[in-house]
Amino acid sequence: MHNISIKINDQGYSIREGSTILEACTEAGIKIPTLCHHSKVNISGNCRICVVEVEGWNTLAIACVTPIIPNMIVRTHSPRVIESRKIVANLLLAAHNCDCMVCDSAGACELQDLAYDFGIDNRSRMFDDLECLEEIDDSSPVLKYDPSKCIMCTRCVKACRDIQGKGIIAVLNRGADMRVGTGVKLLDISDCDGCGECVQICPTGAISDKVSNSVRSWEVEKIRTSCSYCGVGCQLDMWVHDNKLVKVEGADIIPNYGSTCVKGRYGHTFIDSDDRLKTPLIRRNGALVEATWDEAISHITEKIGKIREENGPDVIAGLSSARVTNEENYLFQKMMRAAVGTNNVDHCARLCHASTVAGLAAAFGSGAMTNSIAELEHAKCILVTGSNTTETHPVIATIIKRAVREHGAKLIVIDPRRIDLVDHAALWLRQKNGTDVAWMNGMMNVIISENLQDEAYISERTEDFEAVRKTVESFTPQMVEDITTIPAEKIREAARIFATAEVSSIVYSMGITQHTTGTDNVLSTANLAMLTGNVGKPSSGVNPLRGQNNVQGACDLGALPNVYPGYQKVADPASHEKFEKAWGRKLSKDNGLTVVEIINGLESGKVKGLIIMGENPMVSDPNLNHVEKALESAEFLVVCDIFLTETAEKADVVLPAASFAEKEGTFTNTERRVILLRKFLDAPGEARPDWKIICDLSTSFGYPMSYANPAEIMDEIASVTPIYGGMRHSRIQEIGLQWPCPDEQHPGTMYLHKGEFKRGKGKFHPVDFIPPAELPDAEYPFILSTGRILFHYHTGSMSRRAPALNEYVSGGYAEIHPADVDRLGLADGGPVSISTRRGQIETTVRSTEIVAIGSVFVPFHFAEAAANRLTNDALDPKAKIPELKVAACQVAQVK
Amino acid sequence: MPRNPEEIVTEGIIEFGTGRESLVQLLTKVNEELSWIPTIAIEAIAKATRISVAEVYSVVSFYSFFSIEPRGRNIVRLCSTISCAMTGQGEILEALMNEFGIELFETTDDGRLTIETTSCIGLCDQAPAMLVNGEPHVKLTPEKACDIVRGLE
Repeated sequence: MHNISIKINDQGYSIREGSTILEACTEAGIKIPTLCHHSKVNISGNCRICVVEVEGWNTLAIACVTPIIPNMIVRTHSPRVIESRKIVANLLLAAHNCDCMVCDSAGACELQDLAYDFGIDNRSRMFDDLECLEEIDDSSPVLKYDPSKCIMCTRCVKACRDIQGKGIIAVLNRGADMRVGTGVKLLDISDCDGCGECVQICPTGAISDKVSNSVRSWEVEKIRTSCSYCGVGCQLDMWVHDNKLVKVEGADIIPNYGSTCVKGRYGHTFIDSDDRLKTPLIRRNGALVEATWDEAISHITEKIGKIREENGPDVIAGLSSARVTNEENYLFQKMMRAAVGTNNVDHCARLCHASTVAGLAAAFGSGAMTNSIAELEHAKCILVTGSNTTETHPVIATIIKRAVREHGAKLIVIDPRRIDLVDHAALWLRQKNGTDVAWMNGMMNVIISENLQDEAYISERTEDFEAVRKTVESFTPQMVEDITTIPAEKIREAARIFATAEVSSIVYSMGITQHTTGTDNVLSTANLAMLTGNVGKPSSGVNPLRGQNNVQGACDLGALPNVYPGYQKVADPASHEKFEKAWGRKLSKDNGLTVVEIINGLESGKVKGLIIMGENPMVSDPNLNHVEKALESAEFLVVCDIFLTETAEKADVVLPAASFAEKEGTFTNTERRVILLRKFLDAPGEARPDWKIICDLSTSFGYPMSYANPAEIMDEIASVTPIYGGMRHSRIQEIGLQWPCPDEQHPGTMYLHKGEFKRGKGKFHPVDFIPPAELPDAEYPFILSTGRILFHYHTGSMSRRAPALNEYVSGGYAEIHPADVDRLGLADGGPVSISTRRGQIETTVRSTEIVAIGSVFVPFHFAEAAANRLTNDALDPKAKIPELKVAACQVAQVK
Repeated sequence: MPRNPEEIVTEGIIEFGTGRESLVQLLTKVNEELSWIPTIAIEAIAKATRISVAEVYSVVSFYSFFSIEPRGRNIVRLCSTISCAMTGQGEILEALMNEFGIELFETTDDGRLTIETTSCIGLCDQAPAMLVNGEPHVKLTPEKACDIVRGLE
């Protein structure tokens, strides 16, 4: 592409060939009005407001669709052009319900701006008002469509189809009856999941929020921060008015570029729930009663001190949190290690990606997503396994769909459930739950036997390949079919697609990790990627999607029992010495206990005092009946949270924390990007940021901590954590930085293992197939799997306090195949009892072919029908992650 | 008995394929056989062509010869554009409605007949004109039109 010369308004310009007139004008700094045009969606050229005059052409040219040609002479503001634009604007206004005085979009409406710019008032309107369509579709829980304000720009249709990959809405009918809609159904019963992409891209008030308060754009302060839900780390613009959050918009910046999901946009109303904790609570005579901060801190100090004195520091444990900031995680583990004197610190990453951290660290030397979110768009093959990405990482799913739709990527989905991404996949393999090592070995068997492996890469970049070659030899497609039930031919097909694509990327989540063979599964993904030379280059790699907003950061900052911040091993004498020096205290040399071991320890008496910050094991942990007993047998339990969660109800002291809205700090999203959290509201009552609470506690424990602000904590983190060495709040004001970022000049790392693996050579690990710990039998004939859904998050303490999300899904349910529903005499929407060897729940049947016959899926967000009363707490021996994805269960009518 | 809409779509897919370009042909096939396009057919076509339901519906609702509501076995489309209107289309419509006891765009109870109007069908030189199940009839009078419709099965 070279530049060509054109003239705009008598001035010569040299502009890149292939640009449109509009792009040329933008480059030349000349503003042309637009309405239907939006940089995020394909051009439609249907509103005609951007017309310009081109010398020698009979008709006016549409600037947004017309490419420039050499020596073109363009006039952007000639009398003819202005006249024509005025006619267009007048026509649009004639068909528009101009109730700007009461319209929520007033001040943020592009049509209003246009009328203002052209000076079109009621007296100078060229045309009489046309009759507008009146029928508003407000059936959706979160948005409404008013056709009387729609200018048929079709931005929303394209946003839904092309950005989100959903295509829920389209332009319906013809002529004066035209409107945007879902077709056969209204919004509420269509597949619309309320992401609100259409709301954000609508130039007028035609599609608008129902959740937002009626406040106009000029009345608010907009503060950019990071989303508090999943690990994508969407950047959001919070509209704040009078210390209230009134509206949320996706920020047009990496990693979400304006998109977000229904939780991000409409799920933050939990912040000002009436039942936020506002004062510390101390249990007196069996009941939690209000107390002052001083009373609470000194009570904790006295109790923890006494237990520690009598039994030593290792009977005390702490659960840090994947919801709180990096700075807070750093301080929490520092408090546990330096002030209390134990490595008994862990958090719920143990339950989601402990096997990733263990497996990928062993294979590559680093246990995080190798590549970045945006790179997925340019992968040629994406293998998604054990990740219902559409529901758990919605914005990443849109990128995967765009890779398929816009860039021709082949998507392979390997999942026991027929998830949404299957609709976009070239191939869907339905394996039997818990047989992942087998199909991966099978794919490798095919790749090797058909000689599709990357020999040069294997010999230059990796070691121990021979052992894997030998192990997978016996995993013929036929043998794998017998184990997994995936037809042999489909294994071959998947192997060929994956191995022959120019760049292939593996995306996985808890379907891979939450098994007693979780680490084996992760090692297999690493084997597969290395075998085909797909690590250490753009758009490739092994990409574990991290679940919670800061689960990556909580791991990075050492809220784990065996590593200090930056994965520096407790067992390594040099690291141990380094941190003793940095923190000025003798530190324990023994690895601490993991989450499940801590819970077990409470029951056995090995753990007596437990401090929990922002976690809710009473819903999130496996085998809840056991957890409940364990927490009740704790000698002293402290819970710091924003709500009185199921876990906090069992505490001896409850401390009220500030939510993400009310504090500063950083999160690290799933692609290793450290992103900023900005305060946009004041905390309710006496709630305080966790970092301040930790400082007070630690100081009271006799290990003084004092920081002016989280930026100062980050400076300390950088000084002891090589991968965060260059992280400073001042550097991430606009966009975040991806670790490793060793120094202040380092630009951050887009993808890992370029040229060399973190550990030197990539290490192949031979992995044999081991079946799940518990398989269906005559007594418990169904396979139970648990997981997440789009509309709720983790234990529901936040999302279930958002009314809009509850309108979509208000309670627990069990997905059961229609054939099983019939066979057992159940009814769709009716009650069902599900039981395992560990517990029983009653919930609601959702009859669906998403699950296979003989399988049951139960979301784990709902305490009253808690999936984790059923789950198996059998552990992966290496990563100590429980097998949340496979258990044997009974399904029966409720008696 | 009319055939199952999904069966017609399946047959259409063999005939026309599942590309985006086959959409109008698939819709036409269903519309011609059933006189209308049931939701179940829209969904089947959307699934086969990987075009969203809304987009398929968008196409259906754009073309006035496609219907999403059940219509009669026979469809009379009386041209209502200027030449036909000036040469007596109004009286013909009136006569048909009286004779068969239905209003415009309605269907007789026995499912035999639907009366519609259409934009210009290019037969202005022989106005007034109408299409009966796609076949043109010209130089109509009220009596002639009623005779033709009476003769339908």
